[in-house]
Amino acid sequence: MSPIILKLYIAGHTANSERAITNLRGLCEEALRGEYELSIIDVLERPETASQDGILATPSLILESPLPARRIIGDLSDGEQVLRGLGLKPPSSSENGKMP
Amino acid sequence: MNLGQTWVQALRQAMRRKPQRTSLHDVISKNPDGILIVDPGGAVLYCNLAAEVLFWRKAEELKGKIFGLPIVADKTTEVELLISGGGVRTVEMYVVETEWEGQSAFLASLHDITERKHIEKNLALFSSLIAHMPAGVLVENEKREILSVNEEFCSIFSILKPREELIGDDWSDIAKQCLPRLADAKAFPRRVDEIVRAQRVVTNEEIEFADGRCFERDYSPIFSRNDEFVGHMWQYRDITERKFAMKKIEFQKNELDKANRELKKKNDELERLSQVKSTFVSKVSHELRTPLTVIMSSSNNLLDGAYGALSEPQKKWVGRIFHHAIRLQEMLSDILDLSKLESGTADMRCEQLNIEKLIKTLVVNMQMLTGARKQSLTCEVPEGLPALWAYPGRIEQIVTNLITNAMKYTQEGGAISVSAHMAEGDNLQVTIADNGPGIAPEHHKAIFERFTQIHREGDDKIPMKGIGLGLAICKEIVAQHRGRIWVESELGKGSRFIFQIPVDLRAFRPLSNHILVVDDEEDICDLLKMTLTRKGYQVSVSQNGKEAIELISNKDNPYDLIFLDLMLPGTSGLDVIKSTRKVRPEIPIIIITAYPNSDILFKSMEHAPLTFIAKPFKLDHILETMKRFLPKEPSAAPPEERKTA
Repeated sequence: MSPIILKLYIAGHTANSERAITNLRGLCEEALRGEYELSIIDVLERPETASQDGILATPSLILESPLPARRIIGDLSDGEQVLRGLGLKPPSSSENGKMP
Repeated sequence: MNLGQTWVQALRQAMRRKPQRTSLHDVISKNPDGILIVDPGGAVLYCNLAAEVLFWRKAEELKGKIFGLPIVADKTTEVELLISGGGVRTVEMYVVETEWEGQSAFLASLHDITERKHIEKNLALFSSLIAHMPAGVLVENEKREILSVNEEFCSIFSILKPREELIGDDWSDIAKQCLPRLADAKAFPRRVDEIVRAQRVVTNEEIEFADGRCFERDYSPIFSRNDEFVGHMWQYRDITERKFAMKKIEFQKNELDKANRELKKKNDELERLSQVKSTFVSKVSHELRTPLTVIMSSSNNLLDGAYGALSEPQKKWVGRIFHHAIRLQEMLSDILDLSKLESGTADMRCEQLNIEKLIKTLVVNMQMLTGARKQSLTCEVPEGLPALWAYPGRIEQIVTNLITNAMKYTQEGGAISVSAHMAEGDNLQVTIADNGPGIAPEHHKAIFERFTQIHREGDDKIPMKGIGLGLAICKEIVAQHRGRIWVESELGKGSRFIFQIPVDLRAFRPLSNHILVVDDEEDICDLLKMTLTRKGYQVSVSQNGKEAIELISNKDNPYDLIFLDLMLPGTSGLDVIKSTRKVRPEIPIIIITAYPNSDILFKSMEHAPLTFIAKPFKLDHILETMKRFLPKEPSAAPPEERKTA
């Protein structure tokens, strides 16, 4: 299985960014058992990287691997939905495959 | 409630009722919040005008771009939008699952909260700032809901609710609970309403609390960067201690004023009593003189045998009557004299006085009185002592008094000497020394007080005792000449009575025989000029005070004397006197005035080389008065007249 590569874009060290980072780390440690790569990019510090990735808003989480690439927006507080949004967890039957 | 949420609920209802594409487009496109519709992969399918503005990108540019899957349901989340060209806007995002053009999609409503976040950030900063301020601070929004408040404020108003829970509360509700704590519960809300309505800065308003505390209140309206009114800020500073201190000072000041007033009242009363006493003494003394004169004359006539020959015992007793009448007369003169000196009505016309001549004459005259007790009276006065500016009669009185005292108290065969010499500070010192019994140091000061007599050895042998006014009179005269008098003595070692009087500094200056006449009346000027020129003086004339001051200040005009009219147009005669005293204090001034009794005149007369002549005057009087200041007339022929402007 391909390694899980994640990129989190934030805009400065705001309470919102901190919340997203904390939520994501907690989720990764718990659900992915540490088997992942995560890079956090501040769009204010590296605007060109954000531009290359076509980032429109933050916090923005990109799953680069395994393919297909996925992108979600929000403070990542609902772990279940985040995992489903990234395609790392099969959608629950009750929700009939719909997101979120 | 969130605007996006309201709108979405409305939208949901609309969609349930009538899923028409046109109406959905209408609602979405006109919505004030940004609306993005994205597919399940996060790609933008649609954006409204508000969204274009938020991203600062055109719809065509946004369509197809990956925004990301908005995974929020039934609640909002904070998201930062990256604006084209740099910068970030913060929005509240609300997401709802929907259908778009027949396929599953997500609708994200974006409500701009950038300004609010900015204010919140500033407010957070401000709150930490006001937390430790030594004043109670309250910040409200325009609706008077509490935005920030510090502990000090809660403590001032004794607000029980925890500070953190006050945020968002309506201050007016809390204020109502606080009203009983204020001294004036009615005025307080009325004034607050007034201030809030006016939206103007108010500073240092005093608020009194029912428990006696006192605060100073400041108010300031808060305006946003766009000059939009957004709230109120109140500050309460505790000034209880300051007020207390001020009240204390005020109280002390009042007490002091009261004490001062009482003191002044007492002083006035004392002065009045003193005046009454002086008048009484003066009147009684005067009244006693007539009967005394009759007693003296009658007893003298009896002694002379005018009413027939007297037997020896009769002679003895009438002699005693005469003798004591004379003594009584002397006492009366002393009382009157001191009374005059103290009240300032004594004649103290000063002139240049040759002390050497005065002492030598006096000593020669008094040597005749020493024979009876075989005392010696000598005098050591060097030649060439400078002149005094003094009233000769009074100086004579002091010296006579001191010699008489020395003779009285010194034993038979004792030695008395009078000497004079220059002392430090341009003072002339006169000493009357004896080898009598001396005076104990504790009495040195007291003997100069009125009615003071100390018991001294040999008192019983003194033929004519006074009433203790002699030295008091001497002290008063010396003081009026700006001098001082004291005694140096020890029991058994004799006494030295010493007085010092400042010498007349004018005596040292060379005379130029140049006189200035200042009078606005031409006739007076001409008259004086003619008279003085004839006497050999050089005379300058000025008809106004300003010019006179200029002339006097000029060092090329060493005037010996100035004749001055007080009533000058413009710069007055008094101004001329003042200016002259500043630049040439030594020049004597003779004031020619029609009002010789004016207060100003008498004030300026004191000890200054200055005198006055009343108009109309006789020329003889002018020349006689001049002699007091200029003893020598010019010997040379009249100099050429000097003209002035």
